[in-house]
Amino acid sequence: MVRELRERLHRAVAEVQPDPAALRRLHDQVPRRRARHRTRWTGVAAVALLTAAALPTIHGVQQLDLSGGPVDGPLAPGPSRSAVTPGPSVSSGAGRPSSLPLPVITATASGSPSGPVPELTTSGSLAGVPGSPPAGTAPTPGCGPADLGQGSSHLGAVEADGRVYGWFRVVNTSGRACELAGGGLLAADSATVKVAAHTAGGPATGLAEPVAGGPVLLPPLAGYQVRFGWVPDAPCPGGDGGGGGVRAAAFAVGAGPSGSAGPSQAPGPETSPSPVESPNPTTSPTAGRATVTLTHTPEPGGPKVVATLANACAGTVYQNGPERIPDVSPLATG
Amino acid sequence: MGTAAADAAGASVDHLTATYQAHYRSLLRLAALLLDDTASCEDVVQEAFIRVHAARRRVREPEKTLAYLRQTVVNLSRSTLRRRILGLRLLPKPMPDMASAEEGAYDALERDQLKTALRRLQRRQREVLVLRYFADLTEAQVADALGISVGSVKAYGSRGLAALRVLMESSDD
Repeated sequence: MVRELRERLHRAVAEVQPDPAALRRLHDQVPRRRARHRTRWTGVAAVALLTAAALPTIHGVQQLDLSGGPVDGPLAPGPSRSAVTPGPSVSSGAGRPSSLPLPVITATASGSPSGPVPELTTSGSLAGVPGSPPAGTAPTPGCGPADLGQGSSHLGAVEADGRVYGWFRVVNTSGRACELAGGGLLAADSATVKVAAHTAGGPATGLAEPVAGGPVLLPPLAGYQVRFGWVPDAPCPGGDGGGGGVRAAAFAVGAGPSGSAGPSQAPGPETSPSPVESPNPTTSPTAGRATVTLTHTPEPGGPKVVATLANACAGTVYQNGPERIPDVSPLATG
Repeated sequence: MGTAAADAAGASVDHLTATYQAHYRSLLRLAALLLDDTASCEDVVQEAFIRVHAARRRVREPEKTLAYLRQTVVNLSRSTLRRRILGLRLLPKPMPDMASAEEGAYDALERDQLKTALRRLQRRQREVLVLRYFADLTEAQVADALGISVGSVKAYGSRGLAALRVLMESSDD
């Protein structure tokens, strides 16, 4: 019975043949489906981060802008009673938080389809992160551009001495363990802002002492973070002494090289037409200032994570090497 | 390093082609035996290939690819899931199973008889028999693919065989 059943089963479907176009369709559909997965994850991460990280940032900025401006009447409640920079939205918002100098949230989809990495503008500014490109000898494969995703960034409030600390986080989304090849590349898009590795006793005192660790191994869904601190060369002029009107922390998750749709615009806070220039927007105090975009590229050619310092003056970004974070919830901050 | 990405893509395309050549037809036939609606077996197998290959984790374990594919085909062949795929179906396709000329008339009859009998089995019995005797899996492999115990595989198998025998005999009359 069993042998006969075997034969009959095979005979029963012996004439079933694949559609001649089947393989071509698969070649067409598999990459498409893959891209769809990727887009979905990137979008989820971006939205979650916008809600999670934008709020603390706004709070920080509020305190920062307590400069000498005149009081502008009944405004949003909160610690910013002394002044909020004047702006068009002041008149309108009955306590609407957007009348505060919000960070300009720019969902910069950084990364043209070919995704050229922003060149480092200063020589020697390449982050000194431990590790080297995978030699192929490691038992665990190196993390490729497509393995890393769910990038997030965070910038804390500007501290009294004008420094800003933050982090980039990236998650191994590949479903298998991989090893960080180099820990990524941190670049600033401004000639006045340098990037350097943080060293023991270095100026970015808020960063942990660098530890010479081996390569970072990332199990599936584990992430790593790169902490960094921006230290102005001198107190930025024209503000409250320390921070000087520097605004931290617009951020965005850049699209990968697939270029697919990228993270969508920030849902809510596409802020009011930047009424947030420094108190005297026209002249000198802002000279030499720029919005500096810090870009962390986990793997060349892959997605990027972006953080933006608005109104920054010359300075240096110090970064630590990548450190493993055990488990990543996109909502975790700090 | 764009080349690295391109290499990775190339490798996965090659793996897709290789898997296609090695397994597509037999999985199509597996689906044809499992499905009570043979017209959709190509859709089921296509969808299984796309899912398994779009999930990189699975492609990274090439030795498990066939097992994943088979499992996905079995799952997709269950009617509730299949309906969803059919909703996504792009083109109506001709039945791959073309019963041909007179010389095949007897075979066609025999085929139909077996398929009809299979369709009248309980779903689990049908799945166990097809995986066990068409795909030649061991009992343990069938248990894995269906997510049931080996004991259940044995039970479904023997009851399925008995039921099939009854069905075939009754249709012989």
